[in-house]
Amino acid sequence: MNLSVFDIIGPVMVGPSSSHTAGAARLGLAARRILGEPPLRAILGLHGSFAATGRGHATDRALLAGLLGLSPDDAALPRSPELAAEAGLRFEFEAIDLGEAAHPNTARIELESANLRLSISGASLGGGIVEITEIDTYATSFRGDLYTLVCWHEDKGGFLARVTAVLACVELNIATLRTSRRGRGHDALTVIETDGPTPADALGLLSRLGSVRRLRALAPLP
Amino acid sequence: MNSWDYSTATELLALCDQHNCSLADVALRREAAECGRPEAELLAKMDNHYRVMRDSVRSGLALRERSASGLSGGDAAKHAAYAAGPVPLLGPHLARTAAYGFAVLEFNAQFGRIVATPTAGSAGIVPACLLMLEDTAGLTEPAAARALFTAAAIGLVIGRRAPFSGAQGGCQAEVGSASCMAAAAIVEATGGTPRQAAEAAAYALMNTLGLVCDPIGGYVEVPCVSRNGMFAVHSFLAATMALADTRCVVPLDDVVLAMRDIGRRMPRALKETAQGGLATTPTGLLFPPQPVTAG
Repeated sequence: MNLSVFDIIGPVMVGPSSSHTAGAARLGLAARRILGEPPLRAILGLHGSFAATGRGHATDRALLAGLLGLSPDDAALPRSPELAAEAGLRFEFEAIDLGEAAHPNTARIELESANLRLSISGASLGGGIVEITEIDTYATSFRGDLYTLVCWHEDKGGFLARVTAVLACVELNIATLRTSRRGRGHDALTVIETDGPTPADALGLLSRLGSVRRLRALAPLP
Repeated sequence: MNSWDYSTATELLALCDQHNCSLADVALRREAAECGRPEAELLAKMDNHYRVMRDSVRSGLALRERSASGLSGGDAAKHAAYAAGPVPLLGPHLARTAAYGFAVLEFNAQFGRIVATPTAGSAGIVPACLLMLEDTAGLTEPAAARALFTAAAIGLVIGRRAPFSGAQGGCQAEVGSASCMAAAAIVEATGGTPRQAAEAAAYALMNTLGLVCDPIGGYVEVPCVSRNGMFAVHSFLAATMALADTRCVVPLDDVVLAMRDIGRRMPRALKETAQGGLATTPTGLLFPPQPVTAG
């Protein structure tokens, strides 16, 4: 494990819990960034310890704060329900049971914006570290601490070769890459973590690839 | 391979000997080499973290209200008032140190902004110790930022081999680690040698071994708030023992292994599950966890 001194002295966060508050805020923020538009409606399903102890730990307010684009250290975090009302975001929380196999601190977030819908699941692993485990029912696994490309696309031969060729042209190193699909020749989702931001010209090329349906470029989560 | 990297206290002290430098220097140079940023930028970032810590102490001291659970709030102010009274036990510094530790955790429980050091539940100990040095020994802000690198240098020794979370290692992993880091930071900030700092760290951690994580209702309040106050004092005691040039017998690396071993054998009920210990006493059961869908 490659620890930084700022993993030990940090993060700066609004209390009371790094897993139940800071991690929840980061999950919400990841969901907003993957949606890519201000959400207008949110259904937040909380599993396990998130559901059982979430109110006392402000897990609910932290998730909402993230959906509004606030960082885990934003002093406005506890006021997120009021801020959501001001931003026109309608929300509801529900307890869900994802079974024994799911991490005890898991949230399933369903979002609607003016044009889009998104469903993501993620877990808070401790110390504010999170893992996104599912996007629109596609299994995935990334922590959001690197630059990340999320791409919805057709499952078509040569797709990954084209994507990696574009990234190679701008000398962007790929840290991880994972594709999952609904079935052969159907729709698929590819998540690529890179060691730096994808330049705008490369993003332009990627979004013009014929089989790309939607593309999001995410900066590392705060 | 980063030539400033280390995974044990023995290697860390060898680096200090080799380069004739402090624990803080090693942590700073390791980080600079690891992330490719200049040392001045890292010191400035740590300086900012220290200011957040100081703000959290001051905000906590000003709190008069109880938290949403009713389990904490306002006690830091009482300690500070007692410390400023006519005859505080052992002089004003004992109660004041406790006040600072209480302050951060009371503020944390009321959704305040804190620096997880190394976790939110143990976030009061290092700030309390450094702020006391600011009050009593003229510690400057840049020196406090360096002291945080000392704390991190020791934190890395722990984090390489054992978890920091109460859910994995019990309270010894949170408050024990924080106290261990703080003790070393106190020693180095007050002119002690790297070896004395490591000794203080060993004393502090050795004497927190076995602490379980059984907070009432799962809230980061009881015993967390008072424990941060008490173990800030514990850190000063460990530093004092090392500065008096006594030896802890068991070196820090071995104490870390003991902490990991005890954490692994600790029953799940006593690791942040609210299923045992204080949480399931008659008093503890009066404060059940609040589910998120409750009105």
